[in-house]
Amino acid sequence: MYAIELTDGTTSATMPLLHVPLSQSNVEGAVDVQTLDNNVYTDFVALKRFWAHTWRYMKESDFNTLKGFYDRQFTLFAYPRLTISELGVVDVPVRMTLSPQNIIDNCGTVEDVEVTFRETRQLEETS
Amino acid sequence: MQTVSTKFNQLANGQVRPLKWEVRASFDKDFDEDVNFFELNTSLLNGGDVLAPSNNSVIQEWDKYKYINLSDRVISVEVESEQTEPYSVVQSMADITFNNYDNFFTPKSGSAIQDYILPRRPFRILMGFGNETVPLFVGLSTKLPEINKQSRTARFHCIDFLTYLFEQKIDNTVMLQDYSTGEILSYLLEHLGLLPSQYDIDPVSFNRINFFYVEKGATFGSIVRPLMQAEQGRLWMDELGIIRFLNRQNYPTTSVISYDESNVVDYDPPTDDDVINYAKITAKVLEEQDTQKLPEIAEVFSIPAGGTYEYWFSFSDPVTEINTPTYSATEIEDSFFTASLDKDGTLPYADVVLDSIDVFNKSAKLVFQNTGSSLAFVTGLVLWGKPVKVIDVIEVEESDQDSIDALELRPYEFETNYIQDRNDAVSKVSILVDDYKDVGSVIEFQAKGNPAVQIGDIGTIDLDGFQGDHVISKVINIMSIADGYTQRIRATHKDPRTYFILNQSLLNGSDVLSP
Repeated sequence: MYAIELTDGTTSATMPLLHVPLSQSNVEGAVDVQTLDNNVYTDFVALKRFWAHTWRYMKESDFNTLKGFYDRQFTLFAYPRLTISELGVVDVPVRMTLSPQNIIDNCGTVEDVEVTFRETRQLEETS
Repeated sequence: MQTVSTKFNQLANGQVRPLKWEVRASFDKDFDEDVNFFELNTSLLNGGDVLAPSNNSVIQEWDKYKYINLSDRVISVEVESEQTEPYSVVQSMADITFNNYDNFFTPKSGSAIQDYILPRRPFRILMGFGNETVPLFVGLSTKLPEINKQSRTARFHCIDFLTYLFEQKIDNTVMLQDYSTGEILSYLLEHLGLLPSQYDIDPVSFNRINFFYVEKGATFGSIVRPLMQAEQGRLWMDELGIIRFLNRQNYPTTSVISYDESNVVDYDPPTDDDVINYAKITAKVLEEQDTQKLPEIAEVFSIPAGGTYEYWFSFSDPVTEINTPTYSATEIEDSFFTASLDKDGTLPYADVVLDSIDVFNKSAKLVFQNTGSSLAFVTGLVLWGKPVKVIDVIEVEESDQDSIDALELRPYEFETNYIQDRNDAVSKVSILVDDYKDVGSVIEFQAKGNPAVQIGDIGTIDLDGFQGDHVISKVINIMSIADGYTQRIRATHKDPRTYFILNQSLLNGSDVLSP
């Protein structure tokens, strides 16, 4: 089964089982350049990965766990690290985004929780 | 071209090119005294030793700074190197934009380097492909970074060390006789505090200057540019930080790279912006004269009994030597002064002596002492010495009538005291007109970049309107996450040849006869 594990300077958590689809894509740091003879070449800086997932419904406590990782990006000044073992993703620093908290009942259940993770390097050498 | 590996060239010419840049800075300007050049089988790979330039074994002081690697923070980095046309010096500058999301580069932000975010911080920039980079820039930031709070970026503007030296002032008058361009450069660089190991001066210069004279306070740049213009040589700081001077015979003569539609992204059509079809040089030839009576006359001044008086004597021409004046009641064929008990000089008074004399090229300080017990007047002061005078004004011009007929007059004139020979001046105006008389002499284009390309390289161009060998005189390298790699080049069409100058060029050497 596919699972998302998150770690940062405060805690680690394995999020609820995923609802498919889980998408994985590439972020091309690349530019195609056309020469005068109408051919192209590609200059690239780096390929990075991007993951997106939506939980159709999520318990309030699970959402709060997820939101905790999102919020701590801006208090720890560091990105969380993502592990999805089944995809060979292990402890990869990621820029995380989180969709709005759409509460649909009095238990605090949240609907359509979309999370995205963009692979990046942690700048810890100079900070 | 800088020397690179075969792999580097394969990547540079390839279809998919992994860009790599390195930006390092020394904010605390700490020296690492242990820095040595890399020695095979001795130095650690990726250790602290720096690579020595292939043809030189000097350690530059700027190599010794402890640099931190800021490459991961770079959003964009730009290095621009340009040789002033038509012949002069090469200067480089750089702009680096960093990710500053955590205020690392923001002064007074609590950053680990906040105490060192100051002007004049050393930077090094390298660019390349894959795992290999070549050095492109060594220099200093000009001021504090521009912080953009909204985009969370910090931008540094830097100049190379040579440009920094150009801004430095010469702190006393310089007077040199019978010095070559290279010898003058060595003298000035040493005067600015550089060690001979920090520069590499071509041992042969074609310009020899009878009398080189620079006033105190002149900037190094204001002296060097006309010197290079007269020599038609090239002064630059190479990518490794070594200041180099080459005479025009030692410029590269063989093409090292080709440009055609397969590796040019865009180019400007031929223009007449850079055409020179009329050149004129006006040069004043200075020469030291035999000892003679100097025309300036001193004013009468008084010295109290037992006192001294400091008198400044100004000359219209520089002087290299002054005979020390002595007291004489009557005029003699040498430096002398007369003293009297009255202003009119009717009561000669021999108790005035010259205590000291200091000569400063266009002035002299003389200190007189009145050893007697009466008020004394120095009523006459005549100095004999060796003035330096303009003995000839060379005016030489050259034009190309076909070009003038087609494009109207495009003059280029300059005055200099650094060309001392008429044949030399004739050769120089001929070279100028020949190199720049045609439309399309200069091309600017965006290439499929290669950071190993250097100013002075010869590239063979095959594009509509531009054919043949061109000398590269400007290179802009920009690497950024958003736009990849952009390299813009300016190159001047030039047959790689030089002109024969009587008594200077080697017989059977590479110089050809001037047109």
